[in-house]
Amino acid sequence: MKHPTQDQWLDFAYGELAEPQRLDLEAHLAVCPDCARQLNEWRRTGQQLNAWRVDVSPTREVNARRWPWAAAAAIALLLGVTAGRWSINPADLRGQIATELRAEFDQKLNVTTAQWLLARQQDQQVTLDLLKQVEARRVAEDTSLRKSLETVAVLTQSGFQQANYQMRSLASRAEPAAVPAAYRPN
Amino acid sequence: MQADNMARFFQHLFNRGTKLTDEQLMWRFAGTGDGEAFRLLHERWHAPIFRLCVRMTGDEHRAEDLRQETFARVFRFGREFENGRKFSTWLWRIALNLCHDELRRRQRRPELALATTDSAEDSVRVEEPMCDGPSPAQQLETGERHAAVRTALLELPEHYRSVVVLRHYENLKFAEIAEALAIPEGTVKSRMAEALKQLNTRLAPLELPATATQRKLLPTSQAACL
Repeated sequence: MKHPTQDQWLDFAYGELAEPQRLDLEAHLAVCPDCARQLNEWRRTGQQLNAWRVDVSPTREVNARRWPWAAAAAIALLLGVTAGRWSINPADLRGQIATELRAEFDQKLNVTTAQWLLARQQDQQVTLDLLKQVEARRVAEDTSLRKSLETVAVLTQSGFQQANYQMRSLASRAEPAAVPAAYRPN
Repeated sequence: MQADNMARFFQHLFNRGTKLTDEQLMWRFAGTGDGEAFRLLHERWHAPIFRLCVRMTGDEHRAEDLRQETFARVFRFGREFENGRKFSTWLWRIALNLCHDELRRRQRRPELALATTDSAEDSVRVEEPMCDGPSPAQQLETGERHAAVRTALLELPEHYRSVVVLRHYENLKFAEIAEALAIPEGTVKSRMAEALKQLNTRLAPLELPATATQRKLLPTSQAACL
């Protein structure tokens, strides 16, 4: 006969076995006096061990005993509040809640609007500053361009006059005279 | 709005601690220093820890000190409690380590107890006879049996005793004991079997009959199936 192991008997004795295994061991117990004797010894020892009881003294349980009273007080308070709630007319309660909601909504709307206006004003100021900077840069560039064009025009006019003089000298086949000071380039 | 706030407050009041697991309470205490969470943990566990310390040391006064020291360590080292770990296992291990330290200290410096207020002797005390209560003779017998079991258990080697106390009296499963003691489950069972064998040898002379009166004495909250 194959006997269950000691570990299995311990699991059996302390109720840690699953139902099928427990039934198997019970069946074995019915036909095996050796295993039955071993288990009975453990059971007898276990019953004897139960004779040593350790009582937790009242002082150690004072907190535990205080809790039911606290719970009772809280329940009584809750019942009072609930009764108070029920004693109010539902229509009044609905109106009160609507008023509170509206006031809260208005307050939040005002705050949001003020924040939006402030942000918009700041944006406008920033845009205006940017436009001013662009305009100033454009004026400076125009001024510089105008000066450059005037220089080019003066130089071009001087070159034309010099070329005109030299062509006339060549046409008369005469020794070119000195260029008058008025026609010399600057 | 006020009504909703009040409803939330009462919901919080009633849910607080009543539905939270030990681990949730411990995380709350470790994370936010919630004193209420610690109080609830103490309320749940002070009695089992006290019983463990009494049965490991055999001294109620010292057990009370050890119980306080156990919760002091929980308070001090709460931040070291790891997520995913079982609080009870951690707590049992702290208490067992303290009991082991105490027993080692006693071995180095044996002390003589001046007086004992052990509950065994309390139960021996003969009181006024009552119609339905146990007779003085029965009380005496119960007290003697109590003292004999206490002596037999305290004579067990410490590593056997801790297994018996946790399995038989505190109703931990073998796997939980293995985790608390950091030993394999097979070792726990072999220790349990050896402990029961030694206890049987020591207690056999008592030959306790499994009478109806005796069965009534079995602690149902610590239901051992033996």
